[in-house]
Amino acid sequence: MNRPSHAVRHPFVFCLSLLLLTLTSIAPVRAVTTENVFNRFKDRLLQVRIIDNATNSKSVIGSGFFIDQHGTIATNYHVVSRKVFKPEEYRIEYVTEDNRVHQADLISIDVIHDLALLSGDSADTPDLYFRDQRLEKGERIYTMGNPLDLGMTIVEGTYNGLTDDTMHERILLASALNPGMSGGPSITKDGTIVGVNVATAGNSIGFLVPEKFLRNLLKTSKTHKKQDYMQVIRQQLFDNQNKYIKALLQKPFPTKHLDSYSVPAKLASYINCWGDSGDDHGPYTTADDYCAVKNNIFLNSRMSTGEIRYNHHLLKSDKLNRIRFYNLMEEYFAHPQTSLSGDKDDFTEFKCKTNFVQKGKLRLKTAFCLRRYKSFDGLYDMILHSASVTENQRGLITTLMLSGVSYDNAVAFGKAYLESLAWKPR
Amino acid sequence: MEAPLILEILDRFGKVRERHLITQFPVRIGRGYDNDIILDDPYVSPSHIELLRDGSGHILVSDLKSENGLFSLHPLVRHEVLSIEENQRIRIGHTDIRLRSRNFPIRETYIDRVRPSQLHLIFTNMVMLPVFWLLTAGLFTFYYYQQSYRAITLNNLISQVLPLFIFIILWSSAWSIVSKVVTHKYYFAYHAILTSVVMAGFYLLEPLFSYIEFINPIYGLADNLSLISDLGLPMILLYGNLRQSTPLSKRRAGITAILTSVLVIGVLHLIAYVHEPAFNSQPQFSQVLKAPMFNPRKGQSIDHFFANTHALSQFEIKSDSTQPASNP
Repeated sequence: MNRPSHAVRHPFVFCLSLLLLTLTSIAPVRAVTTENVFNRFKDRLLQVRIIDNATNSKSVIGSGFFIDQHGTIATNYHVVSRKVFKPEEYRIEYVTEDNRVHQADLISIDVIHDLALLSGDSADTPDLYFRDQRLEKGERIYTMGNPLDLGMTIVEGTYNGLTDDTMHERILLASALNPGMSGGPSITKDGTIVGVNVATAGNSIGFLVPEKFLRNLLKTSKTHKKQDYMQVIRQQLFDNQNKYIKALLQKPFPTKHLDSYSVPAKLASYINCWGDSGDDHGPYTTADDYCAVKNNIFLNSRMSTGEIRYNHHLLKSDKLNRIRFYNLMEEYFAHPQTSLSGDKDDFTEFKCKTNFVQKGKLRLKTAFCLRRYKSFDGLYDMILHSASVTENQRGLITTLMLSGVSYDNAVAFGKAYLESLAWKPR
Repeated sequence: MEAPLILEILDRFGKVRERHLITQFPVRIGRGYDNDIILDDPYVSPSHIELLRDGSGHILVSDLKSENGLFSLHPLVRHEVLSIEENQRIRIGHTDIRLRSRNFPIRETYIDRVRPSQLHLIFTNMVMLPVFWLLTAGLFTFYYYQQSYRAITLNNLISQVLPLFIFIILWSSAWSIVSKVVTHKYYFAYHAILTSVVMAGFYLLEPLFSYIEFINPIYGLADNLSLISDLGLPMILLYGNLRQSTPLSKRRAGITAILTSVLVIGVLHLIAYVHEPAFNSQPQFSQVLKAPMFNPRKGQSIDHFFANTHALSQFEIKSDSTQPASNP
């Protein structure tokens, strides 16, 4: 069984790659140069390593930084995910600026925003600061980390505001982020934390987790001690899906027309849609519409979740008779485009119910399928896959896929989705 | 005067090689030319045994001091003198011998099915062969056309039809040879017509099964129903071939056809089962679609459709499955 990387789940554009950046010491200086910033804050930076206990070699590297004077370290959840899922097989080490290796423990994680806190064994650590601030577009930001295990690096970039097309707020950064800089800080010239390096979208486009989520995590982490992280992840995923599914179900779905069918359109600002209309395939034509959430939630190298994806295919033909046309429909119906993968360690197989559904004059053959997350009780991947059986030479195939939702939300969303479909004969 | 007997000489495979009418005793048997019955078997002595009839009419066999002896069978026991019943086999050298009376019962005569019924005349008539082949080819072409949504060219139609007819010809020829050997007639027309009718059966039943799955959307229903045609049609074909080509009774031909089909389909399903992936990450659902006219029923309301889906969320998770260990 292939273990698809989580990037496979973003067939459209987005190739998340991990980055990292570190930060040096802090002290106000008059002439601000990148060199000054680096030298001032470099002792706050560290490299985070996940070590495989069996072989004692590095399995993942990322960056991190001290956020208080007691050795508390901030990094990305995705840097430490192996330790979370297989605590016996891995340990966490970090390397400080003076090249000393220390041991660290997990304190807290936030899978939704991709953050983790570690407790290091260094004492009296210099730290970076949280400070309320308003940044303007174009303001200079220093991004630090240890790209590709090459050594601590600083990159100068500019703040470009919050993204409005992702489900969870991210800061858009014009700067060169590279793998290995994940978990490192991006700071202003005076050492104020702007965010945590998390992803890149290619040349000089990077993303940061805004510092407010780090502050929240730090606040809540003081309230609990050792914990069952599977339970923590489950609760975070459960609460998160409740929040966004409820928000999407507040009002009926906006719809658009695809020939004589009305179908769900862009449901929220963070859902991206692409269209591809009027492809001529000889005896028939297709028009396609794809929508998907831009960033989903990384759990481990095998699993991502929190995805909403739906697509519509309109098939039309005036050359094929009705029997032949429905062979074509069947071909499309047999291969739902869900981009789902997964293996038996993480998921059950799908169970489906298939029947005809009537919505006014629109008759659909619909399959509703669920599979369970083995580690996260009560969370499911859902597929709702329908083909119209209404017209002789024209048909709609529409597929909805939600990953990591509760059964109740799967049904509620499925109902709303089918309710938004309609056929208006011309 | 006792009734004459028939003495049968059998080879080591039990096949009768010679029959001798015995009207008087004693009868001496051996390899020498001075015997009453002369055997070619090199393991038989020049004078091997003698058959006598005693006063009460029993037949006694005595060994004439042969090299290799006289044996009764089942169990194989050596005797100097042996009293034998009718039809009891004895062995000398590599030859078996038995005696049968004139009124020994024989099997019923095989019925030669050359005497034809009207139907039989149609199925064995060489003139009808092109008619049936045209019908089969026509049906196949229609099926192939309706099954596809791509443009159909003469070339790919021929490439589809040709293998079918090559199969029909090879299969019929093989059975014609069997017919020729066993019943002394070729019957090519019969085998070829039967094969093409059975092949046509596949193209008639397949759409029927997929239609049944369309109106009853149960995953795998058409596949399961097609077991009927996968098993039944080869059975019909084999039964027809066997009845025409061999003297097997209806019962025996039927059993042979059923066992062969079950065995072949069983092996094919076993192979398919072994190759099935252990885990399927894609959903399995009933995928058949047909034009609206084929489903006159209305669909369920949306609420009704989702009403009984709770069972879908119930999964048995084995405790031994690989679950990430909880943190210490």
